[in-house]
Amino acid sequence: MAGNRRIFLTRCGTAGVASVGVSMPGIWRSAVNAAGLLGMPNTKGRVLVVVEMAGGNDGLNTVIPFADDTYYKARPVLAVPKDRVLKLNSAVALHPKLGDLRTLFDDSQVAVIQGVGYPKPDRSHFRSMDIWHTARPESVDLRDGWLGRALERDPKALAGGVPALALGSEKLPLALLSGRVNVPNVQSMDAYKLLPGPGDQSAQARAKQTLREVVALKATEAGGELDFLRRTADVTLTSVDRLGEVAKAYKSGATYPETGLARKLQVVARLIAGDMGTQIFYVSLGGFDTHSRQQPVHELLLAELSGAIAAFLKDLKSHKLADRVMVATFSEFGRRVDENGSLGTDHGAASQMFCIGPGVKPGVTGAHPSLTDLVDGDLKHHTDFRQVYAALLQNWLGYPAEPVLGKGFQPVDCVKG
Amino acid sequence: MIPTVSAGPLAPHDFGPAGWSPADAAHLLRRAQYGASALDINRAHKAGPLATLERLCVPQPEEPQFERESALLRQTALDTGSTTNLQAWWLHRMLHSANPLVEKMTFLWHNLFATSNDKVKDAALMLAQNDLFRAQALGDYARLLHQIARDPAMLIWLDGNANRRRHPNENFAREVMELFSLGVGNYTEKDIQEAARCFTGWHMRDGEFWFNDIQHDTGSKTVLGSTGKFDGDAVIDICLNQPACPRFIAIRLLKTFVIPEPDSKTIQAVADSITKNKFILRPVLRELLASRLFFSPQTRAAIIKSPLDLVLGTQRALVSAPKLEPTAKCLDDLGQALFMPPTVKGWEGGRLWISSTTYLLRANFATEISTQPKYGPLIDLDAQSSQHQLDTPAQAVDHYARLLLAAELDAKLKTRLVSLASSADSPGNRDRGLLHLLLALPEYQLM
Amino acid sequence: MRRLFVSLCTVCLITMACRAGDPAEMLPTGAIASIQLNNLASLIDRVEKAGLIEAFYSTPQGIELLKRPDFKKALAVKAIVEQQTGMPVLELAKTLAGGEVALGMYGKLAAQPEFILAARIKNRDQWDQFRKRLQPFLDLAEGQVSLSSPAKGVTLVSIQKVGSIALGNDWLVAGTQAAAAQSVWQRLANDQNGIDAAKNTFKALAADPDYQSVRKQSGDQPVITAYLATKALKGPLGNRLIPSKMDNPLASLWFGGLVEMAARSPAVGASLTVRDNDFDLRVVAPGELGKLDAGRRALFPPDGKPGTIPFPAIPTLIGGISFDRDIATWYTNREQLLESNALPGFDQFETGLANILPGKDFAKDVLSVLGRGITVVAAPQDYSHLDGTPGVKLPGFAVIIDLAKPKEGANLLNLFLQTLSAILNIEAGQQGRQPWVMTSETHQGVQVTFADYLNKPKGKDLPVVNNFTPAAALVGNKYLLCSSKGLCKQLIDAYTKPGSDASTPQPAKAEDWAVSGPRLADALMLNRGLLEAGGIKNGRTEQQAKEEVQVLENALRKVEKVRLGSLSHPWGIEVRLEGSWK
Repeated sequence: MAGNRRIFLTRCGTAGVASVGVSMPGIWRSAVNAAGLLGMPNTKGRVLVVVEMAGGNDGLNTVIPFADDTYYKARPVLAVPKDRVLKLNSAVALHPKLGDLRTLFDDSQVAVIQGVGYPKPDRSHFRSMDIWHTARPESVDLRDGWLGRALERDPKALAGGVPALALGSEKLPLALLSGRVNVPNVQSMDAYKLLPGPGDQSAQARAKQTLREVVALKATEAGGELDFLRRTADVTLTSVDRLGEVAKAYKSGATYPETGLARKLQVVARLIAGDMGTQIFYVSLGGFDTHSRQQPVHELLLAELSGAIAAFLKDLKSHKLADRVMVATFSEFGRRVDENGSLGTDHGAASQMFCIGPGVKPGVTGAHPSLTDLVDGDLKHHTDFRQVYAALLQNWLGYPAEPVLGKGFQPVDCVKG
Repeated sequence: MIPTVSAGPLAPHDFGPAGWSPADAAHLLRRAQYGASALDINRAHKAGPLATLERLCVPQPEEPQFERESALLRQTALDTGSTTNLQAWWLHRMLHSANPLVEKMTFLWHNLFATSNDKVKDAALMLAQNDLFRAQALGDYARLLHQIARDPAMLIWLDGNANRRRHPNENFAREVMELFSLGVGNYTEKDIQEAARCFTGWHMRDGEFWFNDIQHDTGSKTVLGSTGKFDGDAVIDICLNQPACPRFIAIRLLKTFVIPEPDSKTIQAVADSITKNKFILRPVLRELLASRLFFSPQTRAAIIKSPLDLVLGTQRALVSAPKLEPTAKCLDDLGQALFMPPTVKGWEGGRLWISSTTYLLRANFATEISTQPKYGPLIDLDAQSSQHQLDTPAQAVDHYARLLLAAELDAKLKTRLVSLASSADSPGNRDRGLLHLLLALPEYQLM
Repeated sequence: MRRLFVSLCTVCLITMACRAGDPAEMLPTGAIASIQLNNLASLIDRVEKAGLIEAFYSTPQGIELLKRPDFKKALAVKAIVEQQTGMPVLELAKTLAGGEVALGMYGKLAAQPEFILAARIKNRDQWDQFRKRLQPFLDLAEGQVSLSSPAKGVTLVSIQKVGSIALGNDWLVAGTQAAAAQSVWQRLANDQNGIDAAKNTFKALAADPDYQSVRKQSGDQPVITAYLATKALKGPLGNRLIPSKMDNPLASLWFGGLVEMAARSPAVGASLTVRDNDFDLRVVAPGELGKLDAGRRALFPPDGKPGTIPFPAIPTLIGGISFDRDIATWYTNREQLLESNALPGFDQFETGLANILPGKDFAKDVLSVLGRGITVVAAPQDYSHLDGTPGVKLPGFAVIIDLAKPKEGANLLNLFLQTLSAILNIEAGQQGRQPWVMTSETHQGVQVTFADYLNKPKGKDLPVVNNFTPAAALVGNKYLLCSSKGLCKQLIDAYTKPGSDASTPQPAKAEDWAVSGPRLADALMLNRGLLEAGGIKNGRTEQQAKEEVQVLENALRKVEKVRLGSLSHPWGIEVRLEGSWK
């Protein structure tokens, strides 16, 4: 599968602007031009895979400040002993169950962004998750999400196709919601299939062929509803066929663990390899709300996360696709510094994000938040999550971040220049 | 019925020498109810446009059997409190009521004052709100707007009880202006803050509206240029008196019944009619649905069918006894779960109904309808064939295209359909295959 | 579901007359599977005379079926057959399959297996008529079939590449492999013609020891028996039919033991016996429980112990489930019994449970106090705890837990109840429902702890949760956890009655399910409106919906009792479904 055959969106190159300029309202055009003038990187063909860790991941037991005794005092039972942690530098280390992630770190494929959060942190799962999805901590406005708004700035996405895809969620994640771009939510790949029509196999084949032919007919009124419907139908039938073919042709280049996240990421790898032109994938891993008896559950989840992502990147590498793909993880909040009385932890605030893939600027970014300088017993954030979004949008995918995020945020330095 | 005399797009349509055709009848029925069967079209064609409009706009007595069935389904919704049973109750009405336009308008209000049982979690309150919509379906919008401000389900939905004197909650005040009466651009943030003060203390207690006077801000407020010691009702009256208000309702009516993107002149004409009729919608609709504009070529096959129009319309035309729960599930998959609008904005509709995922689901719905009784048994195709003398493939194509498609069949398309129909091994398979394809067509997604 | 019920009743209403020999006498030994019918004619007679077929066609399902195109085709075929044979299909079926019939499967499943069908016909007149009618067809088909008469009164029809059919004076043999079929028809021909010589060389399936081991355990005069040589299947499908480890803990606990016994047994048999007012269906697998591993052995009663605690003698019992399992042993052996991917679930379960039982460990603190028996029963409930009724009226439920250490166990379960109650109260508050308080009173000298509303919920459409207001008590070693105080008191009465625990000697049962049709009907019909609305939702008219519910009710009221039990015997295990009707 030659990469240069792929039809990818060119949002920032001048050629891209010229070809789409006619159909773009002025304001985006200028935004795109401005971005182009700023000398943004060539982001052609890049893919972002967002992994949501739902429930509030215990960041302190994920990236562990092992050098700080306060950690061991605050977590008499749950703290991971110094001799078991996987050290990243002299201050912080990964949880022992994140061994695969550590290997990737050593291979310069992981950026750990510490102390991420937002002002006046909300400790409700729902509200905080909404904030991360909408990137609007200030107001309750659930009309669209940050990725949805980004897609609205992409004329190709506005024209149809599958610019982004949520996999395995019951409904479309708010982050991908947009009033103008429809993002498919494929609950299961098995269901994304065209049922065969009535009659025997030859009748079914004739019906499908006829349908393919008639949806490809040109509507008399270009730009009208019928034209729109025919185009969508054409894209749909094509994508269903392509997904079917992708499923057949794809050979996994890695052994994935038998976990839910691994299964989802394997499908994502298949779709990237299958040349679907999708730039944003969204998957979720739930169960991080570990109020009691945290240790066994949290360990399983971390192992699932780390094993799945490692297999995913290995698989992509074997298809020579890894360079185009970045995985970003987030959780709606971290957990309190002190463990609670039932061997668990309660809802907290600031935590870390991981960006993973060959395209990251590797290393640990930012200091670990102080374990003594707390707000209401929670870690203070020093990096706004929208700074990470800005980096992902602007420096990785090539979307102008400011109109999407409402104001300018200094992007975190986590993408290779 | 006395046709309203008015100039411009709302002037009554002149059917000319060719007269009122079955296609005209089908056009009216597809818009004014959820789809039309061959029998419906035939009956409307025989009755003529005036009698048909009369039947649609004037309350018709319901069959006692329908009432009994509806009562059983309603009680089931109350007993179980489940959203699926609420949906089944309403779908039954949409499919079988003798007043289909009332149900379509009831849905229009549900979509405008979009309230979700996801948050309300009370079937009785959702039913009470729905009754409110139905009572004013073709009635008085102004009265409905006053009533909805006191509706318990709405009070839960938009956090009425959180709106307190010293801590006004703008949720309801914002939506009253933005989504319920005026639309964006016709008010300022300041208007919303002031209006929120007017609604303070409009609370709910024990499942009923309760004016909590301790929490009501009795001070002076300035809303949309008027100043006074206003309460919520006063704000609503102020909104109703804005010129943007009838235009806002006019756009909704036009988008639902006539054309997806009405021009400003048309909007103003309908808005004027609304103002003239003091927000009583029955005469407005009657005028609109008989108008030159409504029957003009540009409005034919112009609207993308909502899942309700698609699924119920298909069942009305092709299914003898629709099964309600699978129907509700299908609507949910296609993005239109009744009583569960995605946000307070309701379903925006139009092109947003269509994505790869939903198109695929629509195509698969076509397959399911034509191959299995999942949504109810298919009408007897053999009987249709002999009744309408569908001897040749071309006759079958013509017959079903007229029944199902809003637009005249394109010549190229027809050639392909006839060729497909000719390749079938038996008349039964021919018609089944034809239905499958017609229902999966982009053309079928239009009405 | 309803359709299944109708067919079940159909089968139940049929009685058997006499028992002839075992049809497996006609099959050669070495079958990997076989089915035997005995005196099916009387079954068919019963169905016919009871008018059940007509009755079915007049139900909405029947009418729907009649309209279906494939069914119309089937009816057309039926008409042709009837015209050609000159007898109604039911008559034909009675003639051909009404006496003794045996169908055997030979060879290997993985390769194409061979089949032999043998039937002894009771009605000679009909059979003669049928054979006469058949002759012209056979003549017509010459070229594809060859006819011969290898013995007196025997017609052999050989069909190329398909097999052969032999027709005798009162028998019929068909086989996909001529040689194997020949041994059968030759034997029957010798019988018919009074030749004894060849008989001795024929080894019948009926004499096979594995076959006998399961046939011996079948019910009295079964109308249908089936046999499966499990040991013969082990080759083609790998070592076992079923994997040794399950991936579902509940399935493992529920029937992991039975499945393992069946997998180890050389043969599995089934038999259906139908009498005037009852039937029983048995599935048996010979084997020794003692050879099971500890984890699975724990799923059966200990040797020589009756097992399965009888249901409490409350007069209104709708039905129940009763288990006898050594759960603690099963739990500690879970790694041997379950796939590794099912194991993390246990940890999550323990974590979750610890939220409700703070500071307690499931394996150490909970399992050790539990005894073997768990019984769940359903009975009608009154709504005295409400000012009205729930919209959906559920029966009362009770879980009866036998405790090894009654005092510690009751403390633990009371703690569980209190914590759960507090959590539910918070939830009720969040959803605007009335909270309850835990209080207690004494009944028959037994303390009953129960939830009580200070403000009784009011209305006739109360939420379904209002069916549950927990009440608990400890009687002897039994902890009763009930969904209402009323049911709890009824159970206390039942368990404190003198002699209530004296049970008649019975085979060891690992579990027992029972349901009473009329009482189930009573409970269901409290929600008649919901059931009727269900019909309307399915596209029925009000009238049809009401009739359907009536049919269901009538049918349920006819069924006195249905019970399912799993029994362990010295010779092996048995699952028995029994039903009785009025």
